[in-house]
Formats: sequence, structure tokens, C-alpha cells
Amino acid sequence: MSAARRGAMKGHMIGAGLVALFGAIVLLIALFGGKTSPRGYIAKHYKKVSAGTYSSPKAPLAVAEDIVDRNGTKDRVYTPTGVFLRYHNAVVGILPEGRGSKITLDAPARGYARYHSYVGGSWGGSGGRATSFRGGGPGEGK
Amino acid sequence: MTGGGQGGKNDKSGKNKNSGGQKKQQGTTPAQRTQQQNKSNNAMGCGCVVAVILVVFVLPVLWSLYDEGVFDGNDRAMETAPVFGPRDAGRLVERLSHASKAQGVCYGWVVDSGRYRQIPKVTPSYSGTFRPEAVQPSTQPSAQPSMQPSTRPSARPSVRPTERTTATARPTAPRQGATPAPRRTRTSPAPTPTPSGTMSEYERAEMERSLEQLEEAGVEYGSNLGVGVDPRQVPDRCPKWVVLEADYSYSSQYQEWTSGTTSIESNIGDLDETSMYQFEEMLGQDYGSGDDTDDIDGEQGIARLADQIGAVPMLVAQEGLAPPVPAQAERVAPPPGDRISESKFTARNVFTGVGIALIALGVVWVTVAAVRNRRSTSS
Repeated sequence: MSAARRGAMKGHMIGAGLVALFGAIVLLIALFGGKTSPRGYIAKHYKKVSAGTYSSPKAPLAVAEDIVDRNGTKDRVYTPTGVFLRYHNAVVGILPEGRGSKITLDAPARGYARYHSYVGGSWGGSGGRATSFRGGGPGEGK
Repeated sequence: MTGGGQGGKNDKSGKNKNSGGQKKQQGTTPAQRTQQQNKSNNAMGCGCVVAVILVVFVLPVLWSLYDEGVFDGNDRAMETAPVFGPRDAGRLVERLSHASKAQGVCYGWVVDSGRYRQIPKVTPSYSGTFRPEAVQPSTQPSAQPSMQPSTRPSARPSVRPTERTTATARPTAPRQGATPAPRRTRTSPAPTPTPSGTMSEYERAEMERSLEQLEEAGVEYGSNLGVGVDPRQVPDRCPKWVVLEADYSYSSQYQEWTSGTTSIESNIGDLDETSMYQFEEMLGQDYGSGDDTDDIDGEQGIARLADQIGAVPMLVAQEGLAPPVPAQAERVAPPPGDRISESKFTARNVFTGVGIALIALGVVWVTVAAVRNRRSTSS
């Protein structure tokens, strides 16, 4: 192999390597950047009652504020009965119990089934298609 | 001369190869072949660079433009589309009805979407056998205010007010000519229910003005009693009421909301605008949350507005004005095929695709270059 060809091949290798490296960085950021899970936070800051169930002396809105503040998510549903939060690995339900709150922590599919009467249509639907509160009016985005 | 010399060498080289039984690239010299190879490699490199630019820069920009609705054109349906569709309105009515029964308080919502076209009244779609209690709304409070006609507020100005600087900056001063009566102070020792019959003149006038605005273009409203019923219109049925009012500014050029504020009107205690900032904070919709697009005029503005309406009964319970709303007794299992959605096609997915495409491009680049180099070496 001539020196010119070796040089050209080296150039290709560097160029392709840089492109692939850049792609890997973009992919890693897209896959892992910004993903939050409230599991550890809830386990650490709230009293465990039973497996997947915790309690707090605070009212549901205050508990939801605390959890959302530390573990942001845009998939939130507030109903008169409780607050429901969706994360990539958990569904959190915050319901009134006495003067305080009961906090439940489920896997996404289980949490969706458990609170279907509140979040059905918003987080899923027939064939996994959400239909509720997506807006016929002039909200932004799609 | 030099060219001739090279030509001789090339001829010789070509002859050797031909004599070796390889007839391809007959008539081209090694220098020419190297030149062609270099040109080809350069073209491939340029192609890769162009592909990278397309994938990294052009594609995300196009997606952003699409996401912003630049290619949507002028959709006239947007001017009259209800904020809450039939199913969403039905859900709100059902949820508020459940809360109203548990707490003995009527809950309503009024959305001034800022549009000047008449929004058709939605026929809500309810689940199962649920139907709201039938009522006949009145456009006036039951007890007429003892005010002169001249004190009635004039119609809304044709030019919409500018964006409020804060969510709590609501006009409190009565209009000229009106009999000013002190508003409930924020530090008043509520909760003391103030049914419609015991309201002050100013409060009554303010409520009357609110009810008049219900009939204006671009205004939608509903309550636990159904769509198109404001609790303040049926004081006999709703001696205690809480209404969340949303006021949007709408850009007909961009066909979207440019700003929006909410306030809570009630006659059951200190639930007026002083608590709105805290309320929004509790719902993760405050500016301090670091995401100012996740509020009532943001990307999921309608869902966030529904959150505010749905959370009002919890706020009432939290303030000690009513007991908490218990969970609905019957738990409805999802019907077959109804499952949680996959993650949405968002910027995260776009960038995942971009990353994969770039890695694939790098691999293809190296592979093609290696194959070409090998062929060229063997020839």
C-alpha cells in the first residue's frame, strides 16, 4: 500500500471515527439525559407503609409539589381525588388519607391499570394511543 | 519528456498487469487510477460531511419548524375549536361532580380563550351511565343587585388588554361610577361561607360582570352541573361555589396562545388570587420550576389547565374548607387493548435517531473506504 493510500485511509478512519464518536455522544445524551426516577427519593423521604406504599402527614398537593420539584415530569394528572405522576420506570399516585397522603409506587403498566379511571386516555388508550387533554384549541405544539 | 517517461513506465506496468490476466481498467495508468481513486474518496468524504450536516443540523431544525406549526398553514378550524373537546369536557364534569357530592361545593371553570369567534358549545361525552344533574341556568344571580344601570360595566374593549405582568395582578378597583365596596381582604379570617344572598354590592356587581362575560365570543365554561352551566347562575343549587377562571391572550398570526393567567373566584373563603402563585407552585407550573413552557400557555397548556381545574377541590380540602374527596369506590379496569402509551415522539427520539444515524454513517464510511482501498490495492 502506497503512502498516499495509507494517508487517505487514515483520513477516512479519522473522519468516520469522529462522526461515529459524535453520534455515540448524541445517542448517550438522548437515551440517558434528563431521565429521572422518583423511586429513591420517595423511599428516602417518606414513611414506608407496605411494599410500594408510603405515607406523609402532608396534603396531596404539598406532597406532589415536593416530588415534582425533585423529580420533574410533564406527565402529571391532577384530579379532585389525587395526583398521578408518570416516569419512565414508575407511576406515582398521591391520594388523600386522613389529613395526610398515601403515596403509591407502581411499575408503569401496573400503575396505569390501577389508576385507569383517572389517567386512562391521558397516558394511554386503545392500542397505547393517548387521546385526552391533547387540545383541540390553540395550545402550542402538536 | 517526463510525461513520456511516465507513459513508458505506465505502459509497462499496464502490460504486466494485462499479461497477468487482469483486463479491467485497461487503458488507464496507475497514476490516473490513483487520481480517480482520490477523486472518488474526496467525493465520498464530501458526501459524508454533507450527510452529517443534514442529519445534525438541518433535520432538527426542520423538525423544530414542523413542531412549531410553521407548515400547518392557516387552519381556520383553530379559530373555533373548543379548548376542551367532548371527552375532555365530560371528564372534567364527572370529576367535579364527584368532588361536589363529597364536599358540598359546586366547582366550575371559565376559559376566555382570547379568540373573537364564537366557540360552539361542546356536547360532553360521559363514561358509563354518568349524567350531570339537570339544571336550568340563569344569566343573572338570583338576587338582583341594587345598583343603577349606569354602574354596570361596559362591554369588553375591542382591543384586548396586554399581558398581565404577574398572575396575581388582577384589576381590583371598581369602574368609575360604581359604588365601591371593600373586597374581601386576603387576611380575612375565612373560612366563612358567603352565599350569594349575603354578598356585598360590589361583589355582586363583579359576579354579574363575570356572568355577562360568559356569553362573549371565545368564552367557554362548565361545572359539575355540565358544560354551559356556571355555578353562579344557579345559586339555589349552588350556595357554595368555586370557579377557576382562565384568561388567555391569543395570537391569530401564530394561531396559539401567547400568554395566560388564572384566578380562583369563590364564596367559601380566602381562595382568591393571593394563593394562585402557591397553587401554581404546588402544580409544578411556576416559573421557579425551571421550565416556563410547562404551564397553561405552554406545550401542554390544555392538560395543565385541566390540572388546575381538577386540583381546585384538593386545594379547598387542603385549606380546611371542605373534607378531602375520597377515591371513587369502583375501580375500573382498562378495557382489552387499552394500555399505557410508549414514550412520545419528542426531541429525545429525534436525537436518538440522529445518534444512531451518525454511528451508522461512520461505520459505512470506514467500510466503504476499506473496500475501495482493498480493491485499489489488489488492482
